Amino acid sequence: MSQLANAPSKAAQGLVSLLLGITALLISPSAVSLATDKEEKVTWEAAGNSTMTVENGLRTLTLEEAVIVTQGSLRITGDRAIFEYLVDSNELSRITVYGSPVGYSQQLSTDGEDVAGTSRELRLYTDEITAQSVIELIGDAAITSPDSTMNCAAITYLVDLDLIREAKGPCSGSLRNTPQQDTQ
Amino acid sequence: MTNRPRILALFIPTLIAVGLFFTLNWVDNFSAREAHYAGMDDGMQPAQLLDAHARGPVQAYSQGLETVIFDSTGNLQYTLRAERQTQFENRTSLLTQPQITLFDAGRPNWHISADYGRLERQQGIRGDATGGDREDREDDELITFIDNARVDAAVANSSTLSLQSSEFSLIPNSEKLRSDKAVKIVEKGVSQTAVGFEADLANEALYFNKEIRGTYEPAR
Repeated sequence: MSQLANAPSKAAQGLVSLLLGITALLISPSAVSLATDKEEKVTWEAAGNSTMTVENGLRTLTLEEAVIVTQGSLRITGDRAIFEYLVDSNELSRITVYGSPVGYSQQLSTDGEDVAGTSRELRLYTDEITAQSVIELIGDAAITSPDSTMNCAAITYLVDLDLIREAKGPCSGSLRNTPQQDTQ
Repeated sequence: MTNRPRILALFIPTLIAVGLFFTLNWVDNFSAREAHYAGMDDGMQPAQLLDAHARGPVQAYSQGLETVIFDSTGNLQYTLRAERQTQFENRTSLLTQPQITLFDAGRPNWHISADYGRLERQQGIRGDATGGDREDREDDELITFIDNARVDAAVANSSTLSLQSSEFSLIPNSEKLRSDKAVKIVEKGVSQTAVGFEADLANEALYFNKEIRGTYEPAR
């Protein structure tokens, strides 16, 4: 395992983040999350209580204790979850999960390769411009994919592309050398 | 000594007559009570019958109940309809097919219905657990909806929320619901079940107690 960065300056942190993102994109071009996940039902369960309120055009559903959220192969666990829906369309716009830690896992492809992560807070939403599913791991963020492991203060991960878009340092991580996959 | 047979001859028929009197009286009372409940049984659900039997003397019956309630400022607050009402001496009423419509600014906001209901004066119900600090008044009416109890948003309400349970209680004045039974809510692709809930319909705020399960179906 090689230490990639333990950056002392913001410029260095930014550079490391950029390099890690590009590296993640380059080394795993065929690894994308299951395309069907976004079309699947979102399900949730919680051992504790739940509240549902409407305010400023948002319907907010809060779940407490041993929360489990799934959508296809996506699975998030935590202590507290907040779902935000747009009242007009009832579109689920954002899920925020808090935990010690929050656990995240998702199948990347039908080959069975998984990505997994942990953090103190997780935000899942769809980017309005690119329509990509975005996961933000905030606070003691760690993510492990078949090709890399990364620990940062915060990590923004594009689920659909298996791409780390942004990582806020200090960061550390490792890359695994994997055999080149045949493409047909 | 010679009078004893005569006394016995008088005493035995008297004893038989008294026994017959009390027996016939008991049979008469029993028949009357059965006839009373038999008349009340028409159109009532089995669970409602049990409830009715436990409430003692009936004060009045009525068919086609329709009540309109206005608030202190003269605005229409809610309407209560029921196919049948049985009123007891303790001021409790049992309702068959009760339906309440809650109004907001004169427009129907929520419909609440069930197979039957029980209307009584609220006694010591807890305060607002949905976030507010208002204590419900002691003289508030409490209506318990039983069997196929449900809440649906009215046409004038922009919400499409629907709530179903086997039983819940409503305080019409404060538009608050409460139950310790299982509940299911549905709204535009969102469905959630739980056990125990409270709802503040005026603010569309819901609190679910435990065993939360839910799904969201993305629009296609």
